[in-house]
Amino acid sequence: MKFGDTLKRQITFIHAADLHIDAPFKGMATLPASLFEATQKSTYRAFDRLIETAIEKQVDFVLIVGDLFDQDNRSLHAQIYVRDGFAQLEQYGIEVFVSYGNHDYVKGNKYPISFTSNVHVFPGEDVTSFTYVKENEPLAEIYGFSYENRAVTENKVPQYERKDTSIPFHIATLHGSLSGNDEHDPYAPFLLEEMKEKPFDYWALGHIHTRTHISDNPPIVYPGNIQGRHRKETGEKGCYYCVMDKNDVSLTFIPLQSILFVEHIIDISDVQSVGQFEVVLENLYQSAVQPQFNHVTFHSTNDYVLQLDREGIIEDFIMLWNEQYQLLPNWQHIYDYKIDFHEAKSQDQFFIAELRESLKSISIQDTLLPLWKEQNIRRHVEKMDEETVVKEAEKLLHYYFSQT
Amino acid sequence: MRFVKADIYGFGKWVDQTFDFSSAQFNAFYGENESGKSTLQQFFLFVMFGLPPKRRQQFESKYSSRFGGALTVEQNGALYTIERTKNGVRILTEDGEAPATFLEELLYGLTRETYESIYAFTALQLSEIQQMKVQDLNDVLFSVGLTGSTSIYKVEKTLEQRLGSLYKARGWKAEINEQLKKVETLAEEVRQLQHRESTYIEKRANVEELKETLQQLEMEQHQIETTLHLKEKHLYACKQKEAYLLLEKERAAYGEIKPFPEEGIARLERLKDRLLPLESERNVLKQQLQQYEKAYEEANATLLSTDYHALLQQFMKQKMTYIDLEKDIAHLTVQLKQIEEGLREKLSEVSLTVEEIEDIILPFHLDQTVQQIKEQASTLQQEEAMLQDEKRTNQTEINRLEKEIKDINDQVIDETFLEERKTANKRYENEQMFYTQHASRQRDIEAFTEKKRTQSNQIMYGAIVVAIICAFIGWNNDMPIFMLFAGILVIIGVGQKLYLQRLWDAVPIDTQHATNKMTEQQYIENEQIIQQQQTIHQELFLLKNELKKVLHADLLLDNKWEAWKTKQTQLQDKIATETFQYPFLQQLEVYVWDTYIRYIREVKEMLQTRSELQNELYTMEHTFAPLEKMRTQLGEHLGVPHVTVQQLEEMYEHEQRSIAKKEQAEREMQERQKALMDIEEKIATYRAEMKELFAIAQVENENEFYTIARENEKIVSLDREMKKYLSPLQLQFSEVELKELFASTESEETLEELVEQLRQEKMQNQTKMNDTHERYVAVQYEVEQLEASGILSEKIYLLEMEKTKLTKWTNEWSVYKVAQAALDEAKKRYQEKYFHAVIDKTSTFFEHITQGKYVTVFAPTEKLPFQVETEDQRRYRVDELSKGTIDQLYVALRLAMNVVMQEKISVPLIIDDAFVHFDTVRSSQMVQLLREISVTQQVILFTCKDYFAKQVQATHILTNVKMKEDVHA
Repeated sequence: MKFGDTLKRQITFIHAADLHIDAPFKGMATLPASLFEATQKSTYRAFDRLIETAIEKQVDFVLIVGDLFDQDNRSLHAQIYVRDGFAQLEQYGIEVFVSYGNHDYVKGNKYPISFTSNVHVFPGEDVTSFTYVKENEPLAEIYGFSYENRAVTENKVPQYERKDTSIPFHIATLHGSLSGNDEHDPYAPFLLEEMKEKPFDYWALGHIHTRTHISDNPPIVYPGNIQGRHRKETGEKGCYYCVMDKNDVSLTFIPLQSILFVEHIIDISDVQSVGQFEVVLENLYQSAVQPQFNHVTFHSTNDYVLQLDREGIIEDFIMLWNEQYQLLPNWQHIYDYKIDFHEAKSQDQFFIAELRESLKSISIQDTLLPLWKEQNIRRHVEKMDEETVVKEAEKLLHYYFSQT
Repeated sequence: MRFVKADIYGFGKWVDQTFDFSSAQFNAFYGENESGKSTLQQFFLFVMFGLPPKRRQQFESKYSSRFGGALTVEQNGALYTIERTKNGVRILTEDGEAPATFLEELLYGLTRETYESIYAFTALQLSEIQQMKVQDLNDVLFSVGLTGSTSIYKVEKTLEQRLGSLYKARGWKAEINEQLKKVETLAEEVRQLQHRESTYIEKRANVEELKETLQQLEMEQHQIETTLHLKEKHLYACKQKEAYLLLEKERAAYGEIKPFPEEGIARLERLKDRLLPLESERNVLKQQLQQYEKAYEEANATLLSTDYHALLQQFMKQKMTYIDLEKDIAHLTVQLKQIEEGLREKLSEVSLTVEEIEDIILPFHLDQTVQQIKEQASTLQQEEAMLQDEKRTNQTEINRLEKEIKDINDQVIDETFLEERKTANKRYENEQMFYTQHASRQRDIEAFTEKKRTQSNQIMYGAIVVAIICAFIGWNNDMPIFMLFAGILVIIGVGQKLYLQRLWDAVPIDTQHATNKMTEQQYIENEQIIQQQQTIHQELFLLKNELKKVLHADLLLDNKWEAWKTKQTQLQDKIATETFQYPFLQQLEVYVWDTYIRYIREVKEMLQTRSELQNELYTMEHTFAPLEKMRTQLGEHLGVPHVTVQQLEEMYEHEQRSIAKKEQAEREMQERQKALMDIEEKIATYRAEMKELFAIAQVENENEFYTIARENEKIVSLDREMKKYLSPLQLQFSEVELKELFASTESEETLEELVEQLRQEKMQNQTKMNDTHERYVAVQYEVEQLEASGILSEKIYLLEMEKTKLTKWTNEWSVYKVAQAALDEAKKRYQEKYFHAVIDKTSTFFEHITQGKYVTVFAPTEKLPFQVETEDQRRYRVDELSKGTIDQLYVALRLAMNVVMQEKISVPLIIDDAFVHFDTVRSSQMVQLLREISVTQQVILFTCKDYFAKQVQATHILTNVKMKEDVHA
């Protein structure tokens, strides 16, 4: 092989992670029957698009960096579906490199499926690699590991060592989070500087559902998940299409989601009547290019919002709104809302003042014990955090004691 | 906070009024009822808290266009002026203006309700304490600082209800419980589905295993089938093999095949077959020839001689003519006889001879003429009868009318007498009219007189009454002039009456009628006679007219008679003309002419027919005679003198048949002779051919020829038989196998056993294979089902949704529970903080007011109202106390609440006449108490009691001046 050839070499691949195929959406208590199927199949549809994109772009390979499935809810159906999707890629000569993450750790799978020969799964927690060969020529070395158990808490970066320097491209995959990131479970924590020092052309990360470029040189990238599943996973979700040669890497984001999550925050402090509220809600609608799940936070300093809420008016109007828009081809649905009420400055005297004091002083845990001591409840329900409970209780009491 | 100054622009009765509170902490207002104390109190509250527009209206001043006012207050050493007018509220500080929201801060967030419940009380509220229970006291305490009617208990109840409907520790009828149940059910379903999916790997392995077993079994089966097939073949070939071997042995006994003509036997047989019919035919022909010769002779013997045969033949030719003629002649003879008879009859009827009739010529128009004459005669006859009838009727009518006229004429009376009567009646009528007019005028005069009489009576009585009055006055008052006046009045009254009376009596009233010259009876009689005569004259006139009409009709009838007579003459002429032309009609009535003529015509037709028939008969008899002669001749020859045509026919037929038979026999004989010659020739040819065949087989006769043929045939048959057994074997077996087959010594029984055994093995193996295959398919299906089933993922989705719902409920429960707990806690703390303090303070104040008579106050409980304890430790319920004491207790309680609360928020205490039932001693105690309070809190007191005002040294005296002005206005 001549040096010139090496320069001309180019690889194309797709980088995706956190597919969570078949995992249910969070925070939806009810859904109209017409939307149920589309919702339930949304992760499948996103996966379909991933496969379609790979074929359309004629990429060399696809990287899936962990959490292909959701452990608690992994169904055979989902695995077969994924297998069939990969089998389709085989027909186009596209390789797939898969690592399992904290949500689909190897030992958790009760019924592993065998994939077609184009699929390469990183077998265990030690960092290993596969060589991607194109036209009998080793072109890229892909490194990675899979979670064997529910968690990997050690830093894996030191284990990544570049092999066989004659191969032009070296790509590392890692499912974990930046050390010191408090928002997420500290899985396979890594330090950015350490990572940057390693001689890899691309760090394909997974685990964090928000699309993030941690670094540009070399690219260290979280592609995010491919389909939002709750109100915090808003906006477009998808994968990266990467074209790489010795001098340059170009990254193009390709949205894959089949349903979009949108969060609306509306200040309705000025709303004084039901009619005004109706107008506010009506203005919420904007035509969309694909189905959309909306969550609304009604922000207000006016306690009229509590009355609207308590009297079921908000719910009724949302129902009407939904009826109006959820039958469109690109339907929209408000599945939940939140009241964000900040009282204007007030001077509480006597009893109300005492009430506020009491809210601060009582033991929430003891108060809620009658329900939480029930094992069944604990098993199925996540406890509301105390701060929120107190805030909501304050709102409730405010509503009752401000009624004239 | 304390009030410094109140400027009233206009509020109720207050206009442009200023009150200054800056000088004293204790401000007492004295004023009688209606002096504006309450309005002033309302003014303070209005400025601080405002009023809704409706309530505000009642305070809008009648005397000023300005409404509202300002209240200057001091807080933390700073002065603020709260100004409230129609335009709203403004807060003025020493530096300028503060925003309206600052008011809330200024008032410590108090509401009007709170203020009123703590810092202001009136005499009206005094009775409340009697009914007060702990709940109410708490209510008062808790309501401090709460908006409007909000009740803590209501909130507690709402929370309790919602919590109860959300979750119950036992039972299912709550949202969380039900939802939990739903979630658990779903979770269980998911678990089961997951378990089912976990068998997937096992099933996959099972599929593979079964697949292998199946392949193994298939191979074994194949081997068994191959062996079985071979052995079965041997078994089937066993019999054929043995048969073949037997035949082989038999064949060995014969040598080679001898010379023999090609298909020798067949050829010989064929020749023999051909000879046999030929010979038998020859015999038949000879017999037939003899038979036909005999038949010929017989037929010839029965035939007639030639002459008579010809005569018979000729007659038979004309046979049909003969029969027809014979029949027609008989028929015609009968017809003629009938006509003759008819003719005789007719002729007797018309009483004319044949010759006369033949002379009569009847033209075709005669019938028409005769018909016309007949019709005319009939018409004329009818007319005659009708005319005679009319003539008779007319005459009768004329007679009747003339008689009636005569009768009426007799009733007519003399004309002059009638005139007299009429004149008399006219006169009578005129008189009657005059009397009627006179009577009417008389009635009017009487009415007028009566009216006047009444008037004069009234005047007279009026004068008498006035006179009496005057007389009385005059008598009483000793005034003679009245007496005199009375007298004059009587005189005038009576005088006018008398005068008028006389005047009316003098008027004569002529009611007498003029004497009548004629009575009414007579008048009516005359009228009747006049009318009668008029009727008679009318009748007479009518009858005369009628008679005139009938006479005229009679004249017209006579004219018609004349016309009829003319027509009659014309008809007679016509009849004469016809009788002249046809004299035979002379003797006959016109009406039968047409019938008679028809008869004559019929006779003429019959005569014609008779002559035609006679001619025809003659012609027929002429043709018939020669035929009859021929028949007679034939009859004589045959010996039958009156031979019939039928007999001749039979004879003829018999003759014909004999001739045919003779000719037939002749033809047959010739044919047979010719055929006999042909057959003899053929027989000779076949004999020669047979000789040739024998020569080839080198034999002399037929027997030897057949022996050689039989031997040859046997050899061929054996060879064929052997081949028949061998060739199917050759097809079934290869050459090697065939050799093996012939070499093998396995008997049929042994083979049969072996085959049966193999078949069993095959069957068992097949069953095994089927079972395995079935299991394979079933497991494979399950695997496919598991792979395809989306139920689990759907259920997981549903579970997640139901969990979310459950979470929603539990969250709500948590919020409500915390709210409830906080409320409980707040209540507890609030009570601890204020309730006991208030009760303690109440005891202190009550003791002070009652000068130590009562020392302790006990708070009411759930069941008991307030209780008080005396020095000597006797307890009384509040309802056992006197009215005055109850008031004192209430005042003590309200003051206690005020004092406790003002430690936190200090605003002026406003009291409105709360001490009305207090005696002087207790009043002074009260004043002392208020003075003590006013050290820390501004007190504003309103009273209408002057002694109390004096005690408190009221600083503001309110008068009723303006009120009074108002009343006068």
